[in-house]
Amino acid sequence: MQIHNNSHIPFVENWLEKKLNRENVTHIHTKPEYSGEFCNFPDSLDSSLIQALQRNGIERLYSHQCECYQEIMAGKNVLINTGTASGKTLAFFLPIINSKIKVEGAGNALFIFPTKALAYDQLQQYRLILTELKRQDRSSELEIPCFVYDGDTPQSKRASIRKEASLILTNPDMIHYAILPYHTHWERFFSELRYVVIDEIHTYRGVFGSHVANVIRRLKRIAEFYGRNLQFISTTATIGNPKEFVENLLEEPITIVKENTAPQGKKSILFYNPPIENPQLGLRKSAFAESNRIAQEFADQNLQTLVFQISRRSVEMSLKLVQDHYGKKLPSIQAYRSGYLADERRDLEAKLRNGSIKLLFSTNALELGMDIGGMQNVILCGYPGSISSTLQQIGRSGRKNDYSSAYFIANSSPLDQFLVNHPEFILLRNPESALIDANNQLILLQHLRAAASELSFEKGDCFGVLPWETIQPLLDVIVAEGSLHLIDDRYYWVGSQVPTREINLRNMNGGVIKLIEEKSNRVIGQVDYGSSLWMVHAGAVYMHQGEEYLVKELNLDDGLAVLANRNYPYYTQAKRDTKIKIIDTLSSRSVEKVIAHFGNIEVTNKIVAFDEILWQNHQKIATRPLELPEIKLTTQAIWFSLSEEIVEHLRERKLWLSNVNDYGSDWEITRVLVHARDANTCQSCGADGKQTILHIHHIKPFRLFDSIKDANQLSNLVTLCQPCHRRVEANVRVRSGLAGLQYLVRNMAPLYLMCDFQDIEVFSDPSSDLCGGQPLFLMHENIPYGIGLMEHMHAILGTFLSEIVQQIKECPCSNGCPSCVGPETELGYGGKLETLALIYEILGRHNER
Amino acid sequence: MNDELERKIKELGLHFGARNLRPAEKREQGRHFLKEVQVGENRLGSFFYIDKKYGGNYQHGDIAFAEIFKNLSEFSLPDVATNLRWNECVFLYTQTTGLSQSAGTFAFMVGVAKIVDNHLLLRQYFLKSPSEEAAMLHDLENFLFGIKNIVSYNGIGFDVPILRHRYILHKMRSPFVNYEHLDLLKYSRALWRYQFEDRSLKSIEARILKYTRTSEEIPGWMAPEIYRQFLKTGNFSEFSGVFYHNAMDVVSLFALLYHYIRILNARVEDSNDFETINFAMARLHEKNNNIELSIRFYQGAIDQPDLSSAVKLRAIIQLSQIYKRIGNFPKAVLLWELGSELTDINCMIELAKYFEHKERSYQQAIFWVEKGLQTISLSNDFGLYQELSYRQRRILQKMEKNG
Repeated sequence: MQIHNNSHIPFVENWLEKKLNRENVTHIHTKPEYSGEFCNFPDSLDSSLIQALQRNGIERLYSHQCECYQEIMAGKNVLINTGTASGKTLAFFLPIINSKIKVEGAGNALFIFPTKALAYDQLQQYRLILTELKRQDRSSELEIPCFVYDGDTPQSKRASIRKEASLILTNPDMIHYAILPYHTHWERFFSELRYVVIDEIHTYRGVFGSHVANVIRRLKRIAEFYGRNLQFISTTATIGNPKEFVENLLEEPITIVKENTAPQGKKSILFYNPPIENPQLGLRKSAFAESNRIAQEFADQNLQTLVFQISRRSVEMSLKLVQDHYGKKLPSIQAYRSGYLADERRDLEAKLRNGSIKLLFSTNALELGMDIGGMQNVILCGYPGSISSTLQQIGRSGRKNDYSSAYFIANSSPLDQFLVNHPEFILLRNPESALIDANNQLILLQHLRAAASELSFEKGDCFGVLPWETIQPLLDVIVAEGSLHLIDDRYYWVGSQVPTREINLRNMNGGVIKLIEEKSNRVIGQVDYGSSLWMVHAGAVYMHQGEEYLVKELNLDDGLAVLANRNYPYYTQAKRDTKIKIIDTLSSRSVEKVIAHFGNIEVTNKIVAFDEILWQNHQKIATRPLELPEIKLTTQAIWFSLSEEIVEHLRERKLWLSNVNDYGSDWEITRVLVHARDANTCQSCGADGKQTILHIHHIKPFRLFDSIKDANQLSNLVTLCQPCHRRVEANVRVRSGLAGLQYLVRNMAPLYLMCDFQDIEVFSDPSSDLCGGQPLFLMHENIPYGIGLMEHMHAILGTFLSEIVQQIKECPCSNGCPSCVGPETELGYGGKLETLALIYEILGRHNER
Repeated sequence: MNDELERKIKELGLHFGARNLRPAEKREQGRHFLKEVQVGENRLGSFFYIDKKYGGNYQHGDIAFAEIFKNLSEFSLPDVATNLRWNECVFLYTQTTGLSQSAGTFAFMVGVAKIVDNHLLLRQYFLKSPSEEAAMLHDLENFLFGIKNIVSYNGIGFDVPILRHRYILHKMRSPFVNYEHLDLLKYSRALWRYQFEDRSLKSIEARILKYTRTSEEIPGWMAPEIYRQFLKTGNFSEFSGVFYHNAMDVVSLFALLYHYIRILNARVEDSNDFETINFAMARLHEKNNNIELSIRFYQGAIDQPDLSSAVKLRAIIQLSQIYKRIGNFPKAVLLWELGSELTDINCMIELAKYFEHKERSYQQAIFWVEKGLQTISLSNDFGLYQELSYRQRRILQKMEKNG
C-alpha cells in the first residue's frame, strides 16, 4: 500500500524507513502544530490565588480556562469538553476556590471521580494550590480542608472528615452507599454544599450511568432538603453527544466549553495492520507481538513511549519480554496497572512525568485523567473497546512544543480490522453516543427505595424530572413490599435494612454471586445471578482485572463461585439454548427490503454447554456440557424477518455453483452406494429416480472437512431430487449467511452503541416460529428492560448494515475468518459470500457482488 | 455490616432478622394496658404515650426502690465529673425500626424516666403512626427540661445519635447537645469483661440485679417486625410485650445505676460473689490513674482463693509492673516469685533482669534464666526461647569476666 507521509516528524520518518513498517501502515494522519491562545488572570481572581498559581509556575491561563472560569463564576452548569491535557482541572478548580475565598455563603464542593486512583491523583493536584494558599496566611482563613472520602478512608477518620471538610473527593458508589443514606451525619457539609464536579462524566454510560443518574437525583433531593441548589460542573472525553448525554444525566441545562486553546506540537497518528502470516486461515501476526517490537525500536532510540494493552497479563508479559531482550531489568522500562500499590503507581507517574521512565506498558488504568504529562509516543495494542477510549489513549501523546506520534496496532477482531481500514471512524466521525436510561424500571425502583429511606416522599413530589404520576405506582410497590408505610399522603420508610446495601451501581440483577479465590479464600469480586450462569459456571475461564481464573465450582444456593488463579491459553464461551417470546412491538419501520421492529421481548436462556477457545487464533478446542437452571429476561430488542422474496433471490443466485468442489476419485462409487442405500428415491419428497434426476447432498457442507474421505462418509450423504436439493442448499446458505451476519453484528454493534460486548446478544433462526417459519434476525439487550441501546440501533440499522458490509468486502480472507464473518471451521459459519449476499439482499442491492 | 460490628451488636444480646420470630400470642395484658394510654397534643400535632410511676414500694430484683429514694444524695463515678444529681438524670432506652445509623432508621418507641417527687416517672412515647414523630420529639424535648445527664445502655453509640438525626430530619433543634452521658454499657464492659460473655442489659440485670422478666417480655430484636405488623393491621394488643420490654429496660437502667455507683465507689476489695470483680476494679482504677486503689484491688484479687490462675497471673503481672514503675522492687520481686511458681516465664525473665541489673547477682540471674529454659522445654510454647538463651549467653559472659 502506498501511503503518503506528510508528517515530516524526524523519528516518524525514520520509523517508516523500515520496509516492514512502511508496508503495513494503512493510514497516517498528521495534526499541524498550534501555538495556543492565552489570556491573563481574570480580574475577579483573588490575589492570594494568583500568588499560589505563580508559585506553581503558572503565569497565565489558556483562553478556554478563562472561559470556564467566567461561566462557572456566572453560576452556570458547565461541561468542559476540551480534550486530553487541556488543563481541565485548573479550569474548574480555580473558580471553585475563588468563590470559596471571596464569596460569602455556601462554597463546599463535592468532586466525583469514577475511580479511587483518580481521586487521589486529583487530591495531589489540588494540594499544590491549597498548600500555597495556606502558606500565605497564618490566620488559617485561607485554609480549605480538602479530603478524599472513599472506601479506603479509615473508619476512625471519617467522623472528623465529615465535621471539617469543605472539599470532598469521592466516587459515585461512595455517595450512594455511604453519604446519601447517612446524610444527617453530613448536615454541616450539605448545608454549605454548592458545587458538584463530575470528572470524566462519559464513563457513566449504560447501566452504570443509568444508576449514577439516579444517584444524582437523590443527591439533589438531599441538597434541596438542606436548602441548597447545586451547580454542576463536569468534564468529558470526546463522545458523540456530549450536551445531550450530560443534560440527560444531570437533568439540568448545561453550557459546553469545547475549544481547546492549549498549545500543541505537531503530531502524527499512524494506523498499522500486522502482516498476514497464514493466508489460508486469514491469521495475522498478533498486535501484541508487533506493538512490543515497535516499542522496543523506540526504546532503542531513547524515545519516551507508552504502550496501552488490553489486559494486566499482557502488560506483565510485555515487560518481561522487553527485559529479556535487553538481558537486564532497566529502571527506565516499567509496567503500570491496577493492582499495584497506590504508592508504586504515584512513583511511576512521577517518573513518567520527569522523563526517567522511557518505556511504560500500561492497561487502560492510565487512560483516565491521571497527570502524567504528554508522551512522545503512544502505542495502542488493539482497540480498547470504544472510540472514546481510543481517542483518550491517542491523546496521551502530545507535547506542547515538540513532536509526538501515536500508533494504532490492530488485532484480528472484526472491529480492529474495520477500524484500521477506516481510520476516519476514529479521526473524523463523531464517536459513539453515550446512552443512559435513568428511567429503566428496575434501576428506578431500586433508587426510589433508597430515596424513600433517605427522605420521606409526599404526594405531589417529583424525583428528578419525573412527575408524581410516574413515581407513585412504584412507591406503591414498595408499600406492598412492607418497607414503606403510607399515611396522610406521606410515605414513611419502616424497613429495617438500608436499601442501598442491596443496590450495586455497576450491575443490575438483585442477587449476587460472590467470587472467592480458592487459595486466599478472599472475595475478589461479584457478578449478578443472571450473569453468573454464563460467566462463572464450573469450568469457565473468568477474567477479573486482567487476571485469569478457572471456576472450580458455582454454588447458586450459597451464592458463591470458587475460583483458582491460573493462566490458560484459552477462554470459554457459554452456549445457550434460547427461547424468545415477543411481548409487544413498540414501533416498526422499513429498512430497505426488510421491516425492522423494535419492541419488548422475553428471553428464556438455559446455558447448556460451553466451548473452550484458544486465545491465539480463536479456534475451538473442546465443548463441555453443563446443567444449570434457566433464566428469564424481559428486555428490548430489534428484529426483522427475511421475506420469501429475499430467500428466493438468494436461491436464484447459485453462488455455490461458482465453485464446484472436487469430490475425489472414489466419488462415482460412493454415489452409487448412497443411491442404492436410499432406494433410489429422494429422501425429502420421495420422488423416484426413474422419473427425475437425483443428487447427492452433503449434510455438513463439504468444504468444512479437511479430508475428502471424512466429508464423503456415508452418514454425511443423502439422496435428494434436484428441487429438494436446491431448497436444502438454499437453506444452508441462508443459515450460514445469517450466522455470518450474527457474528459480524455481535462484534461490530458495540462500536455503534458505545456499550460493552456483553450488553447485547444477537440471535438468528433460519426458520422461526416468531415469523411464520421465515428466517429471523434479532438482537436484544442483556440489560433488564433495556436502557435504549436497541431503540438507538433501530434508528441506525440501515447505515449500520451498509457500513459493516464493507468489513466483509475488504477482508482479504477467502471464505470467512475471525476478522469478518467468523472462522470457517465452525459449522454454519464461514459463509462469507452468503453473508455478503444476504446483507445486499436486505439493503436491496441485488447487483452488487 | 462488618463482622466486628455484628459481634459487638450480638454481645449486646441483639439478633438479626426475623427468622426466629414466634407468632405473638394474644395477651390478656394487651387489653388492660390500653386504658393507661394518653394522647398529648402540641403545635406539631398529637402524640401517644403511657406514664407509669415506680415508687418506694417497688422492688426490682435485689434492689428496693425505697432504698434508692432514701439515698438520693450527689454521686460520682470514676472518670466522669463528680457531684452528679439523681434528679438531673434521665434514663433512656429506644426501640428502633433497624440497627443502622442511616436516615431511614427511627425510634418508634422512646422510653424515658426521671425522678419526680420521690417516684421514678417513666414515660413511653409510641408512634402510632410515623407521622406523629415531630410532635413526639417536641414533647421529649420538654420532658428533658432541666436534665443534665443521660443514662443509657450503648446510648452514646446508638440511641442518642438516632434521635439527634431525627431532629435534623424534622428541621428541629436537637436537645441532645450538652448532656453528660453515662453509658452503663461502658461500666458493664469494664466490670464483667472477665466474668460474662453476654453483657446485654437483660443478662446483666438477671445476674447482677437478680431480676427476671415475666412472661410478658418480648425480646427487643423482634420489636421492629411487630411494629411493622402493627402498622399494617392496626392491632394494638400485640404490642403490650414491647411496652413491657422497653419499660423494664429503662427501670433496669435506674436500678443498675444505683448498683454500679456502689460497686464503682467501693474503696475496699470484696469479691461480692463475683470472682473477677476485684481484678476488674483494679484495672479500672489503674486506667483512671488511681494507683493506690488499683494496688489494693490487685492485691485483693491475688489473695482470693477462688480466682482462676489465669486471671490471678494477670493480676500478679499488672501489679508487679506498677511496683516496678514506682520503684518498689522488694514487692515486685515477691510477685515475680509468685508468678514463677505459677510457671510464668515472663516473671522469671523479670527476676533474671532484676538480679542481673539491679542486684548484679549473676548466680541468681542465671538461676532464673535456666529455670525459664527448663520451663519452656516442658511446654510447647517456644516463643521466649530466643530471648532467654540470649540472656543466658550474656550473663555467662559477665560471670566469666568477673571471674
